[in-house]
Parts: sequence; structure tokens; C-alpha cells
Amino acid sequence: MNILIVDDEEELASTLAERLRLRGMKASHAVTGEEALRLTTEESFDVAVLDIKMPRIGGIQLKQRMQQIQPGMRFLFLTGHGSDRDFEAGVTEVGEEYYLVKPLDIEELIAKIHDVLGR
Amino acid sequence: MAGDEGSSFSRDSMRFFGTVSASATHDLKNVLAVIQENAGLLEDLCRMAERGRPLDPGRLMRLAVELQQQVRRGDRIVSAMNRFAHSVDEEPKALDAAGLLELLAVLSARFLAAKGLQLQTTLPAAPASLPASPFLLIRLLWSCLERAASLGCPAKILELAGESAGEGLAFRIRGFAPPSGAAAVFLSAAETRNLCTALGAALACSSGPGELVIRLPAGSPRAVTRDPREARDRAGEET
Repeated sequence: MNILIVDDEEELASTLAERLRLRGMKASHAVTGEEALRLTTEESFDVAVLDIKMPRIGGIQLKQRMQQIQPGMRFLFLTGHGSDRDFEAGVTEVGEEYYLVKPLDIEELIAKIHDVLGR
Repeated sequence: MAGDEGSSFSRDSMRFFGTVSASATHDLKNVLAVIQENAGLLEDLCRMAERGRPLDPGRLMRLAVELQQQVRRGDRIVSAMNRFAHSVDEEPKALDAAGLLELLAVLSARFLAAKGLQLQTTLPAAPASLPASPFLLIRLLWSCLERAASLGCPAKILELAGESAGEGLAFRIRGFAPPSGAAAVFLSAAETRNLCTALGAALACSSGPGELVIRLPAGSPRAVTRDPREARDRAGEET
């Protein structure tokens, strides 16, 4: 299983990827949409975990561009939004089953990864 | 009409407070997320050590340093939010330009980063202050930064400098693509015009590459008001 974490908070993206690797998964990280697109052309990923709000290319737009490169890739979205209103807005955008609110629970992330791959 | 304008000004104030608060809490969420992942990684490494995998002291030290950095980052955000919150309830007072620039740098960091931009601040060479409403001045500088960012910044850096200007203060924003309408582009927003009126501020674009100068003259009673209606009333009393 190969996972790509994309978040402009580099420490968050790199640590999440490291924790997934410690659990036996293959995982990489990128801090910009451009870097994620480059990695997607070089390597095959099963799931990309994308921060919704990033400079220049946000997660939603990035998903569309990554899907053009790897149509079989699955996606999960991260957000820092804290309020119920923001959460509902995000859910409307990407669907509750694909949406994770920071700070994350690593076990919840892994469960979502398995879940999205099972669909 | 004056009533409509006043309620619009209040609405704009509330909206601005909401925008800044939401941006700061978003930033804090990121700080918490990084702390959570670093703490989680520490836990992972400890559990693996229990199963016989050696602990790497260098890795632990890097995690400790990162945790401390994130705590300091969170503290900067919370301190800035606290100062910003009190800018609403504080009576107008002698504003320290350096403190104001430092506050804006923290508050606007996420907003500008979302546009791929950074803010560089230049503090006044000597202490510079002016009696004014801190909340209104923060709003005016923010609205000008927002407009400057929307014009495009070739070097991806906006500069904000503060300085004494006679008995008053001047702030300079540099680094944006020069607009064809000069300062009128900045004043096209009713909110910015109202804030200039309330503070007695004047905007001017220099003739060179994108630079906006925001001047706050000393001695104007309007500089200490909170509301454009009050500013107009005071100006009427003067004449």
C-alpha cells in the first residue's frame, strides 16, 4: 500500500508519513501541489491524503489534476477547520467519509485509508 | 443614510474580527496537529523500543526541539489574538508602530501564505507612536495589504514598513504590481475609505514600483475615533 501525504505544514506531512511507514506502509510526503503532481508522475500511489487549504493549488483542485495522471488513485482530505459550520461546509464539498479534521488520530486515518481502498 | 453607513461600518468591523479570528484558529489547529503527530511519533518509538528496537537519541532530540518550536509558535498566535481582541475594547491610545507591525505580521501570516506570499516588516528606526484606535488602524493596514496582495506580487513578498512622519506616522507597503489607478485602486473599497476617514489617514502611491504610503498626521482629533460618523462630527466641530 503506497500513501502520499500532501500538506503545506511540512512537519505534519513528514511525521504522518513516518508514522505510516512505522506501521508497515509505504508513504511519502509533499508540501505543495506542484511537488505532489511531480511525485504522481514518478510513482504509483494507492491513496493521497490532501490538505484542503494550500497555497496556489488547494486539495480539491489537486485531486482533479492527480486523477488525470493516476485515474485509479483514491483520496482523503484534511482540514484544520474547527467549527461545526466549517465542518459541514467541508463535508458538503468532499463527503464525510473522505474528510479528516486536524489534529488527526492516526488510527482513524488508517481506518479511512482501508475504507476508501475497499470502496 | 448616516445610520446605514454606520451599521455597515459595524458589520465590516464584525466581519473583519471574524476573518482574523478564523485565520488564527486555523493556524492554531495546524500547531496542534503537528504537536499531536510529534507526540504520536514519540509514543510509536517508545512502543517499538519496548519490543527491542533501539531508540535513536538524535531523533528524540529533534522531536523535542520541534515540539518546543510549535509551542512557541502557538504562544505567538495566542498572544497576538489576545492583543487583537483587546484592540476592540481598548480606548484609543498612543499606538506603538513597532508593536503594531509585529502583531500584523503574526495575524496576517496565514492569510498571505494562502496566496503564496510572505510579509516582511521593517520596524521604525526610532520609537514611533500616535494616538489612534488600534483596531481601526489594524483594519486599515490589513485592507491595504489585502488589496496589494490582490494586485500580484512578482517577488512573492510584501513589505510593510513603519516610520515617524513629522509628528505623525507613516506606513509603507511595497512589493505589489503597480496599479494603473494608483491610490484610487486602494480607495475603491468603501471600507478602506471609511477607515481613512475615521483615522484621518491619507493614502498615496509613489511613482516608482508598487509602493503605497499610508500617512496618519498627528493632532487630528479624528485619529482617536472609532466610527466614521464620529470622525465627521468632530471635523464639523473644528470648522
